[in-house]
Amino acid sequence: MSASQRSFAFEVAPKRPPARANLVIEAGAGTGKTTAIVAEVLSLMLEREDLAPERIVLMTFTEKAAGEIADRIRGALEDLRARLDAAITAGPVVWPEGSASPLVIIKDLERARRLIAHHLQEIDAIRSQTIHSFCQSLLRSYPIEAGLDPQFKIVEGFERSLLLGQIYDAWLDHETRTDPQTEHVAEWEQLFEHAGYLFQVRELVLALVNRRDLLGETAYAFGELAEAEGMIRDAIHAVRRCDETGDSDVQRVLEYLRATDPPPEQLTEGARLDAWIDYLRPVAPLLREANLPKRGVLKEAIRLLRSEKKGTSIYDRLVSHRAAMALIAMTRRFIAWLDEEKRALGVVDFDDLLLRTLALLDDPIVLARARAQFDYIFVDEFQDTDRTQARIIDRLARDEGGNWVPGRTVIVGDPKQSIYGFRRADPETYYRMTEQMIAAGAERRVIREQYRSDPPLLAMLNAMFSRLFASPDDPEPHDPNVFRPSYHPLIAARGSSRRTLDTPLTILQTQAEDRTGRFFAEGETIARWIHARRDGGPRDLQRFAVLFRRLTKLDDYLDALDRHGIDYVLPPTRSFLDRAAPVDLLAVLRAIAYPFDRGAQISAARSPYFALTDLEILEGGTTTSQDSDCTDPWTRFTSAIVQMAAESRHLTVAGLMDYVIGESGIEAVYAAGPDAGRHLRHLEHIRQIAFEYDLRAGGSVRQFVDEITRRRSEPEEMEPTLLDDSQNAVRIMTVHAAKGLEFETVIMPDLEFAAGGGDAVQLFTVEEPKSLVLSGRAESISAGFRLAEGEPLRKIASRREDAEMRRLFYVGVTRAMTDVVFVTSLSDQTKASGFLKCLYESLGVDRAELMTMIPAEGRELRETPIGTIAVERSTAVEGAAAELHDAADSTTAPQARSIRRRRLLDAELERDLAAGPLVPDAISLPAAVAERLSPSELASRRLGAKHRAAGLLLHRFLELWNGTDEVEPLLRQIAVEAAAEPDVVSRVRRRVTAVTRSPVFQRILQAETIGREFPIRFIEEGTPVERRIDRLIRENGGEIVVDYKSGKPAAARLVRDREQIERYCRAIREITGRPCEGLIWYIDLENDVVVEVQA
Amino acid sequence: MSLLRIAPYRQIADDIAARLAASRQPDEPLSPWPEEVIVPSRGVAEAIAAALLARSPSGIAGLQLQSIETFAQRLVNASGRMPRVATPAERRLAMRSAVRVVNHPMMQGRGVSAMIERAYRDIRDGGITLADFSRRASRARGLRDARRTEALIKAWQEYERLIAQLRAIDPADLIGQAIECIGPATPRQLLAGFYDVTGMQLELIEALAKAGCLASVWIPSDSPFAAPFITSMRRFAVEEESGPSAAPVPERTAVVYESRLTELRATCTRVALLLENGAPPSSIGIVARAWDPWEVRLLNRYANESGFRTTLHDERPLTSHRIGRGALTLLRIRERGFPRAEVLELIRDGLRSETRIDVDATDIATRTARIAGGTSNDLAAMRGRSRTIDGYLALVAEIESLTASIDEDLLGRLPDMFRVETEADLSAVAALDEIAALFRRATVWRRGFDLSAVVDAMEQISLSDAPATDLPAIWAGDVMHFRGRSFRNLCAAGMQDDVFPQRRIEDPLVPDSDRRLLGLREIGDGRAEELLLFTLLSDAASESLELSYSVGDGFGKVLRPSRYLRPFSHRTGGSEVLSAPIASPNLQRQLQLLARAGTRSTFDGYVGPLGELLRSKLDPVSPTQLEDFGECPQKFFLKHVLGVRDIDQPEHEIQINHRDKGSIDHRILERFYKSLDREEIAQAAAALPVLPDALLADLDRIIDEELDALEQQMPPFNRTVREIERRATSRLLREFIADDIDDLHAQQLVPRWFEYRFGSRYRENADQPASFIVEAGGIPVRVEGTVDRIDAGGDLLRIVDYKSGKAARHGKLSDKIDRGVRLQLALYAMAIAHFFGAAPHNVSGTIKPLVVREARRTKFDFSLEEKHDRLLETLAIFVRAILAGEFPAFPNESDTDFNSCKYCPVNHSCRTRHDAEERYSMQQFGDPRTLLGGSE
Ligand code: SF4
Repeated sequence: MSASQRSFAFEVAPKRPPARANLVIEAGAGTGKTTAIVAEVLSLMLEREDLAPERIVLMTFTEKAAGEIADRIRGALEDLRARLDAAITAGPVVWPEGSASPLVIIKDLERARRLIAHHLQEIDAIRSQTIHSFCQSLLRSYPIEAGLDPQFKIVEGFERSLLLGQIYDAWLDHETRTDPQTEHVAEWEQLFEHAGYLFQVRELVLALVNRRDLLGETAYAFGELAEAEGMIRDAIHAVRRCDETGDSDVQRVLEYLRATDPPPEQLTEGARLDAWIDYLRPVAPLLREANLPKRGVLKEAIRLLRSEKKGTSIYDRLVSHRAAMALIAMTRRFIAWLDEEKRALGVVDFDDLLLRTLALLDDPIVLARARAQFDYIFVDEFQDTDRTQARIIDRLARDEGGNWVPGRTVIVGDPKQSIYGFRRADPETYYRMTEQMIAAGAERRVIREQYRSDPPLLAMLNAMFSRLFASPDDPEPHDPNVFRPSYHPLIAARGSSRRTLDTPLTILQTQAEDRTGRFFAEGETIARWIHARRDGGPRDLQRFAVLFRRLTKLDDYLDALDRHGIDYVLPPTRSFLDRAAPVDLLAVLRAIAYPFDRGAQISAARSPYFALTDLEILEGGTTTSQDSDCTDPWTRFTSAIVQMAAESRHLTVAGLMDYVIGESGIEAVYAAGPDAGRHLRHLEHIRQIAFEYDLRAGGSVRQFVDEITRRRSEPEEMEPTLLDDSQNAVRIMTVHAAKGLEFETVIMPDLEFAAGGGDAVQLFTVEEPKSLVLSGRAESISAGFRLAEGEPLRKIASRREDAEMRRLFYVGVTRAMTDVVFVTSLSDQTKASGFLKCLYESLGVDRAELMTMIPAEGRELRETPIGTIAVERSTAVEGAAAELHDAADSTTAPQARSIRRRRLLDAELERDLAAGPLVPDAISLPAAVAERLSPSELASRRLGAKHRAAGLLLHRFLELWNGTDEVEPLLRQIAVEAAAEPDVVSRVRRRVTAVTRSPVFQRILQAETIGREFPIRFIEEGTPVERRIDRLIRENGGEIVVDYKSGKPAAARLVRDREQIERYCRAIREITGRPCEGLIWYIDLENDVVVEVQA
Repeated sequence: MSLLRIAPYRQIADDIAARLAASRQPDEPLSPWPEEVIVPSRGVAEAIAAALLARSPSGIAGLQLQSIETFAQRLVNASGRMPRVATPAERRLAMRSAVRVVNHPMMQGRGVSAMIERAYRDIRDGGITLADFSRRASRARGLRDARRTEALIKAWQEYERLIAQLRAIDPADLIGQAIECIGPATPRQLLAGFYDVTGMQLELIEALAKAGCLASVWIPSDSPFAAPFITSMRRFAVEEESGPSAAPVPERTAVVYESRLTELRATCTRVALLLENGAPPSSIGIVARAWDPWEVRLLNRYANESGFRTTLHDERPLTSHRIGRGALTLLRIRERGFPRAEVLELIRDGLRSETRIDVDATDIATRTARIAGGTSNDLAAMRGRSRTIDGYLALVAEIESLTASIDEDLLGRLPDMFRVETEADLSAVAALDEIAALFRRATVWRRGFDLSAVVDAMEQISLSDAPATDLPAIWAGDVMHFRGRSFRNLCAAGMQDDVFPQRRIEDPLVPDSDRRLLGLREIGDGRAEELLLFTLLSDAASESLELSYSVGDGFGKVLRPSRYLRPFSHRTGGSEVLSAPIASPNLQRQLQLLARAGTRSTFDGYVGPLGELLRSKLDPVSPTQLEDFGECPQKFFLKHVLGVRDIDQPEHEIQINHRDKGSIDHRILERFYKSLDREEIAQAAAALPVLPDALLADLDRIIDEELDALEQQMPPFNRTVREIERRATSRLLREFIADDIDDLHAQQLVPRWFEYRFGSRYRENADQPASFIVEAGGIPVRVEGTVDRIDAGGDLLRIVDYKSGKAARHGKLSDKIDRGVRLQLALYAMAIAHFFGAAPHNVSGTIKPLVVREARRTKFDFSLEEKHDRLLETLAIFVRAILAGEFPAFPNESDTDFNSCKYCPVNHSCRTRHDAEERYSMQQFGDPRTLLGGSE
């Protein structure tokens, strides 16, 4: 029985559970990883009656996966229960049902029945969660030990970048303005010298913050000057000694070096570095461009002092190192500051969740408690864990003696699918940790049955990836610095194919005129190819997925699909703030916020919110108001903006947005276009950001607009929601987003695209020699002067990128169930970059060979080292160009090189509006939303508010005093009750004497009191209401409602007050059937007015 | 013995109404009720009231339907004690103050005082006094962290002391006092609808029972969570069998939506439909386990659009109201160093200042003067520059004096410092009054003024935005507020995993393991209570119950359904983000913009020939302006026809503004080179790579003088950065000059003219008063401008343009001149050739990036002879287009090609740049020259 076919057989009531080993499962794409996990959990449950599901932790990579695994486990238990209940024979029951190689075999049905029923009751307690939410719950249980606000909030996406930006600004101000320390300022200067601008310093620091996990590594080092210095001294020494000559530039360098002594050796590291930089500065420009002398000592010396290539020099490398060290020191300080600020604000981000958890587990008591909480830990997609995550798992999986607890940990992953390098996934860590586990006795299990792909496709995938990846039997030792997983060929678990195809692999060659034309051509080709394969069925589009390395130049592809009427679904895009809907709304907000910003005014006027023509703007905007017609569009527009600005004073930012959107009817405008859903979602998103801003920052619209403009940097990568699985539309997404999904036909365009180079700096570790490497815009000594296999360590980053590119290619291709289509635009100029390189390698052909396979026209089958593939030449572009010319309508697109996408859903309306005369604008003055109170009302209300405390105290006194008791004790008692301030009490004290003598008071005293704070309930306009009457008295056989008020009974107020008391009287009358009148007593420190309300 | 009955809420309300109604004297409706009712929630009270009103439609009077706390307060007041229960704000502040005196590291953390307060509340409400707790703690062995528990007790003791100093009591003490007041005169109580109570509440109930004042107890469920309460009630109440419940079974469905947006939208649409079909508003309810503020806002917005309103009110933090914000700014502005934007924001927020300023004019003037902030003293050098600046300085001085001391007194004055205009303003001011009063009361603690506590207190306050509409009101709320209510049609939204059931987290201060040791009630995982809540919810609908959830939050986050939905059949709900949007009267025009944009229409900068207006823009025109046109005709239109300018942001410009820096660099170089003659250049070249010391000293002196002058002119907000820049300038210019001298020497050229101005607009400052007239396609165009530097040597002339930015941008200069996207320098060369009578082959141009390092490898030279004809052709195209009024926007952001948008004053809001469709239709043409009909 192969390892992958191992089953769990449960004998009749085993005395004790079989000893379990830890487990490392390697599961290639489509092999049913989740099934493997479910089987493991089932086996545990069928083993142990005392197992509480909450003691099983399943860590997944996404929320979606977390939910799916939990559902699958429950589903499996329910399925087993049903089958066990239905089982009539005593024969074994297997899972999955009907499987030829079942993963679970149950023999003792009775026991299994009991156990399953038992576990099903508690199964919801199983802890299936992402590692982030696992960390979150741990931190919430130990916030004090973790040094966190117990109510900490997680900030992500735009909110996080906003916060990070603000905190950075405050830190910069602190470091350079409010508390400049000499050594800190020196570092700022060193980094500034290298980066040139403060904004670039910021970029560098923020880029490093994302690798804060590595900044704490103590076992790795950046390297010191000494590592380079020996070489430099040798080179200079050689130059000074030899009498060779070079061209004029080199000659000047030689003269300088010979005439000037290098820095002495006895200085400290920092001073020596400065001295070297000063020493080399004058010759730096010459060195950068120096031509190497033909031969000799001088050639080598100059090569070292210049660099392998022109454009840089030893001086630049030292400056870079100095800047790198300054950057590291500054970033560490910034992180400390950031942590403090976040602590003060009570927020954490996703990185904090991990780092804080790891730090929390340093506390032995917490670690022991955390370990004691779980019996089993399953980690899914382990190849995508980063080193912090791995360490957390490592800690939980071991015992106090530091040994792996046998049977506790199951790790599942596919090293070939490690594609999240940009999120710090660290396949080298995967390798080390799994090897350690295996060395400590864990079982390695490779799952080979593949359920996803049709057999012919799987055969081809096996052939391709056996070429692209190493063989498992490869005798080559493992490269400790660059992880290269091996490929285990898979066995088709699907018996038959879904569709009969001549070959599952097609190369679709397009004809592109130039580099940019490539996207256009590829888009057109794909659209036609899909179009030709539609069968009118309900899923005829859904089966296609177009997978990109990155979603750049997407517009060309979408355009083509639009032209061909092919529906598509896109995951939410990240940089939505740069999309039309938010930009237009922000333009209007900016115009409101800054009346003096003419650019903003014009942008707002041009936006669909107002839709002025440029001519109207010109005519209105360049004439002065005196000679302009007051009803011209520009004046109407500016009046609307002025009105909105006036209202904005009374609105929050989110409130202002609602107001602007409502007044301009922009939603109706978007709703008329084909992209309504997207625009409206973007609009909702920016509204939400504004709302959060109001809650958190509470700034003005000006501050909001400023913040958004400054912090437009991309929000974080999000877990994509495939919103509607049922929509018949082509799926368009990145390979990253496609992970975990499958599609019948996978189409991969834009193959040449090479990734990398996005970040300002990269920080990474190297195992041999153990180093921390900073490379990119600032480079540590370790990057350029330390070598591994003869190459500077900096190069390891690109080697890792290359390895990841292969894995990414693997993930993309293996999403397919029936066939894969590669879209190429090969020409003599095509470089072997990106996926294209992977394609050549996996097919076993090079560009030239592939080009010879492409037929002059149509589709042909060709033999390749991996089998028969189809090669097809598309003539889509010429066809499209011709059609485009035919379709170009002189009124709408005089020189169209592309057909325009539909702009309005109603084609006829679009035609009419496009061709017809200019519709006159109908901008109206927005309505006022905030009702302004009159100055007199404001004054009296404000005065009333000021005297309110005294009024209330007085009312309370009048309520409680019986007319005979001593005043002072009561007054003192109610003053405490009301927390009245001393001056209020003394004013009331003075007032009491006069008031109690008043006839109104005497009248109330004399009457019979029915109740105080007397509740009444009645039905008003169909709804039951509850009211309280200050005092209800009885006089002459009828009731009187007494109501105390403070302030003056101004006319408007009196009307309102009367209405209120009349309602109460009416209610009492209805209840008693007796007459009832009202008495409104305006009584406070200044006023004593009574108003009688008659029936 | 009291009676105990277990029945659903609906039945409880009916039972109690029947009992109360039967107990009334029919002849005297105002007479006291023989029994009162204690309810756990408003929902229960309202349900009982509604049932009573159904029996007595004319109304009821005098019946007490009260919470336990209200009952307790009434009882204690009736005894004549009238204690004051500390307000939540007082308790929060007291705990904040209390934790500060305890020396334990945990007390420093944010949110700790709130957590300590919660733990205190929990323990005291559990019926345990602090003394009792300390006794138990001192005896217990094996607490998670005994030192921490000790610190906790200290904080609580201090808290109780502070509350006592305020002459207030804790809510737990109120119930304690009430228990003492129970006596024969206490009215008999009906306990309606509790399924769980705190320890303190239980004591009160027991006391009532003992005194014979507990008439009857109704419990809404016999679920496991209610079991302990039922058991304790059974001790003094006899259970009555409830009859079989005849409650109708509603139609129950689970509906899945794409996103929270569509879910809430559809919920509102459903409610609107029910209303339309005649359902009374009171028969419909919307409930969720919890509503976050954003969801409340969405729900209310969608409800409004669907023709109803909900009983949930949008909350607006005091700090987002202009008066709250202004108050906060005033309190902090001193420690922040009086930033310019905040000073002006205060005026915009309605600060009543003595100094009168025109805030927009001041905003512009202070931006132009590059004021980032500072006290009036810091900015003294600017005094007298203009009336506007003086006004600003006076304003800063006034704010300085207003905020001279930050204390209770200032806090008390804050509410009257701002202009009040609306109802909301009045509430904001009233909230500030309350905070001021709170801090005045707290002066008895003698702790000094704590700004962070004030900020915290302000952050706790929300102003409620009650809808001023007469739309029908639909009850909406969370599950806790829902208790006791029932509706014919109920929508339960947000049925998501992790939301319902809500996961409990144990109290980190007194964890369950400690609670066990201390004999306190444990928090547990809350599963039983959640299930009970769900059951109560699903039992509360009589006709239909729609449980909805979303698969995403609408912004990319995946959401999962609640496990409670498993038994239900699921259907997919609508995906409308918008139901029926309200159009403005301007709709047709707005749609026309969509239909025409990107088609060379009047919405795309094609304004048509406008005769003199446009001709005047070429008379004169500068090469820089024409270059703007070459990059993006719309940018030319905006800047040079419509007069749009960049808006400076001094607070964000920590470095010297790039335009100022450019002028300074130019001036330094001009002064430096003017002092050198050919001989000195030759000597300096011979000394390279090191420049002679005397020259370096000269250079540094000039740099210092120029930067000192700038400092006088615009005092820097950040001096450190200014000093760093000063040294950087010296370093970069040294390198530049070494390189430049080397180049000059090699080319046999000498810098001869600097900032060479030609054209009439320079008047007496012109080096050449005439303009350069160039015939562009037969139309004479008058060009005027300033050349950075002209080098001369023999017959040769070289036009030099300094660039401070990235050198890479200027690569392929020659090609870019041909494409029309860089033509400033070529045009200068043409003008200079004309003025100096030089043959084109003797005139060249070059860009000299001031950052030499990036520059050396790319050459930025061209010869006029090569460019001349194509340049004229380009000019002809541009001039024709300008006169024809063709100003299309041409977005381009490639730094190595040309970046039209980077320095465009509308780059943040340009429609064409941000509309994929419009942008695409332009970019197909490569550059504006091609777009306007030029050959590629
Ligand atoms: S933002 Fe770009 S496209 Fe728009 S006007 Fe400015 S330069 Fe032209």
